[in-house]
Amino acid sequence: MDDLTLDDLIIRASSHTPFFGIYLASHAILDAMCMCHASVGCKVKTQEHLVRHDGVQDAHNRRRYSQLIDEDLIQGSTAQLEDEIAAFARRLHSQVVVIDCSTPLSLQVQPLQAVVERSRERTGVDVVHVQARNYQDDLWGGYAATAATLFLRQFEKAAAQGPLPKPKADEVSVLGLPFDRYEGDSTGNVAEVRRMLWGLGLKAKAVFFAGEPYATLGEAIHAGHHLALPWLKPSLPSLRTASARTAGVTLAEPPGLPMGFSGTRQWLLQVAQLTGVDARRAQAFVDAELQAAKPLAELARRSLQGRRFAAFAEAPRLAGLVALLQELGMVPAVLGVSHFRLGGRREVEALLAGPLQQTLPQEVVWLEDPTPHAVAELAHAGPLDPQMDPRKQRPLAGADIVLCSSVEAVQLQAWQGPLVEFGFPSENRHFLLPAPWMGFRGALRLAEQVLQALAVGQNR
Amino acid sequence: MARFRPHRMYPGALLAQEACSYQGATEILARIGGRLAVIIHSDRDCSNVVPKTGQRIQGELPYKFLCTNLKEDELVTGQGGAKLRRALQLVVEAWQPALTVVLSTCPTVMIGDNLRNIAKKAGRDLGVRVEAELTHGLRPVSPAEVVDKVFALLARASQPSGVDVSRRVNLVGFDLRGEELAEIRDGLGELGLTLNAVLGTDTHLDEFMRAADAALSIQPGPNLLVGYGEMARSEWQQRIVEVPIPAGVQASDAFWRIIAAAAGAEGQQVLGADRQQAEQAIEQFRSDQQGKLQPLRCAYNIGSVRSFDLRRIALEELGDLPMLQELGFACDLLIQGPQDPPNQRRTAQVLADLQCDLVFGLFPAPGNLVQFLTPGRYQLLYGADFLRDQTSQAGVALLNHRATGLGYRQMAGNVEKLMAALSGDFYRIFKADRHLPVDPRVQVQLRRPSEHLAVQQGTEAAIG
Repeated sequence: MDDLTLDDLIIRASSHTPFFGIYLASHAILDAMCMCHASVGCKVKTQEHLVRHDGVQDAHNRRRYSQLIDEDLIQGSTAQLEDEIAAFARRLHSQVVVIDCSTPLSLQVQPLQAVVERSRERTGVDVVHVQARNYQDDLWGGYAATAATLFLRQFEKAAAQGPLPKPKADEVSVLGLPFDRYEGDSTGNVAEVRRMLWGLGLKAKAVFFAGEPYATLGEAIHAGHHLALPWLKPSLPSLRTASARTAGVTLAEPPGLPMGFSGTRQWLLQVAQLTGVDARRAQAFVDAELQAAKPLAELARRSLQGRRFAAFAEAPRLAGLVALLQELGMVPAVLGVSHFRLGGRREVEALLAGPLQQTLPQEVVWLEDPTPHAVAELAHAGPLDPQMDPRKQRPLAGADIVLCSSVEAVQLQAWQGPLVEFGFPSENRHFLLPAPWMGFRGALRLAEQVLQALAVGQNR
Repeated sequence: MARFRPHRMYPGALLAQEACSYQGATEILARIGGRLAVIIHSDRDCSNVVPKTGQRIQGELPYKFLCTNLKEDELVTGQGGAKLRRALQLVVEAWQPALTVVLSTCPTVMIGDNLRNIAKKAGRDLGVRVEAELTHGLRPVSPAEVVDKVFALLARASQPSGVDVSRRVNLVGFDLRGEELAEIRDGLGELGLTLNAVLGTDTHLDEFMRAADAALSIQPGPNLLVGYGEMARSEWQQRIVEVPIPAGVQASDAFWRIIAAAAGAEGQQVLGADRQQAEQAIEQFRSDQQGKLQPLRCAYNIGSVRSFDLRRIALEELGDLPMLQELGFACDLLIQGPQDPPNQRRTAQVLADLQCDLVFGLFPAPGNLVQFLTPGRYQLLYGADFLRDQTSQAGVALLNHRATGLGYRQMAGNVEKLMAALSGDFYRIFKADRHLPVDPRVQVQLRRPSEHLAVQQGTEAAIG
């Protein structure tokens, strides 16, 4: 224990475990119930972090807990779990129940397959247990594991009924879309991704996840290709293995992600290539989109050119955001990668240098999975160290604007400049109408928010 | 089936939701000011009961909450104790907290780490105050029990300073806003009493250290703060004065009557001018409502929110009821809880013991409340804010029970908030709708406690 430091004891943004990620993913299915196999305090670990973020679907309504108590750990907890599943699946008209185990249960390594099967029979609805390691993973690990589990479950269900249907060339499913609330940002992303894929002639009926009824996920079995987004990364190895074993399941992994203008263009062209869409059609679609967006992007660029920014998010979202803002002439000053399972600085740099086609300036200040104190320090003006670049020592390294989640926003309370709450959670900014941050429209919408925040001068 | 586990302790909070003692302790400690460090001895997951927004992780020290972040191998190979000991040393050496609290969680209780010994020894070796509390969610408790234990823990080290305590009082267990506290301070002043310490869930640690310097401990009752009260009696020879929640004029009158009697000033009226203004506000509201087509009817919600504010949970959460009743509301009690006959009878008995014979209904889960909000029956639901999705479906105005204030001076503001809640056009524009079909297994049954108990007695007599 001699090598233990204070930093090892800090509660960070990344302290969320798969227990929360699985809950967040089940929240993203309109008629799912998350059954936390947990004791009474664990319910706080889930709903507390979502209740102010999602202003439409209340965080507590589709989450139950099995009321685990000490004697259950000795005598067995499955009877109580099954009773709760049966009672509340009916009461809430759930179409799928996702079992999410807390740490004491994962310590016991209790197999739940029998519970799952009995509960399916008893309730008549689908029941799954998402396996996750609360000690090693983070929320995105849990989110990806839920997407992978429910994706494979669709094929398992269909196979039990007979031969799988022949995949349709013009249908795709989308795996790993981060959907965290029933507001215009998440629903806007779903609509934008579907719109763009339709521009290529592809129908994306099943999106894991889209805030839609569970039945829509069943459409995955008809899709010719299954497009993996970077948020699926933690479960990709196991999913690749499982997909390879299932005839007719073709996992497509287009590099990059649909964020920023160039990033979205590249992603769509890659999707077209992987799914057999005519390259000329794809090129014509992206050209038309970029042409339509150009005057608006020009407008944004005129105001944003040369402005410096600080940004915090999980790796793929951060890379996409940086790419967009650099395209508009902005300069990154501070980049903080929150969480760890989707990668750190190396992954952000790789996405930018690769599919997003951007080069970062040398002097960027980087933070990886930072402590609250490390983030807060960036906003405090202190005495300058003559040995260091003075520019880096100014609050947020001279940034004109900050883009971050509510977690970093609280840590940066000393920052008095403009701030755009972006990412999970966003407890103060809510969207009543579509406000995607993915795709071409997402790029414009995000640029618009940065413009507005800078115009107001202070948006806190 | 939901488990039915009535709290055996703390009558007075029998209808409150059960709680995890660890989560409850963090929620209370999060708001306590001062150089306080809390080490959560647990795996990473349990640290997530502390919200990441709202500045609760950091306090006056660089960090208020820390976690030993035990990994699986550390848990199963028994390295937890050594890690906790090292963590205590690091925290004490870096920040010298006035108090370091160590809390356990389910996994560390399961493996049997001896927190108390580790904390005691570390405190002795490092020359600082370290308190350990065995907390977890594997044996749910009443929120009142959590408050009681944490308050006793925080105040345990308080020692009399030698000042004359005869006219000094503590106010314990009320979370008060500034203006509410000012009124109580003024009222106590009129009785010749000095407020020594106000111990709530947002109190500074130093205030707990002053707890010994008082003769009276004024607390919400009945039967809350059992352990704290015992400590105050035996360690500091304090008298415990249990008072009702001063919500509205009549309850405030009762509040001051009891304090005056305890202070040897029986019958002395306090805050006369404030009382008069409060009465006027009530009269104005009642006269504004006269002539309206429907009598005012309120669904008064109980048991839906897990609160550690004794002002909220005292008197089975009925503390605000007198205020609504004197404003002219006819109230039904909508109580969250299992609908099985034993719980119906138990709830009826709990209410009867408080001499409350209002109609009540039990709804099993928040999502079923809408079934009880019969169209046209209620103008208002007074209760937890998170039930807004239910009131929205029913088209009933919601007034968050945290919005109203205590004491005479808050009455005018309370009336304003009620008027605002009742007068909106929103539900005339947006009609009532239901998100889910009616659950036929939920019985929408509204009865008086006396009717429940009469049925029970009748059945017993018939059997007899």
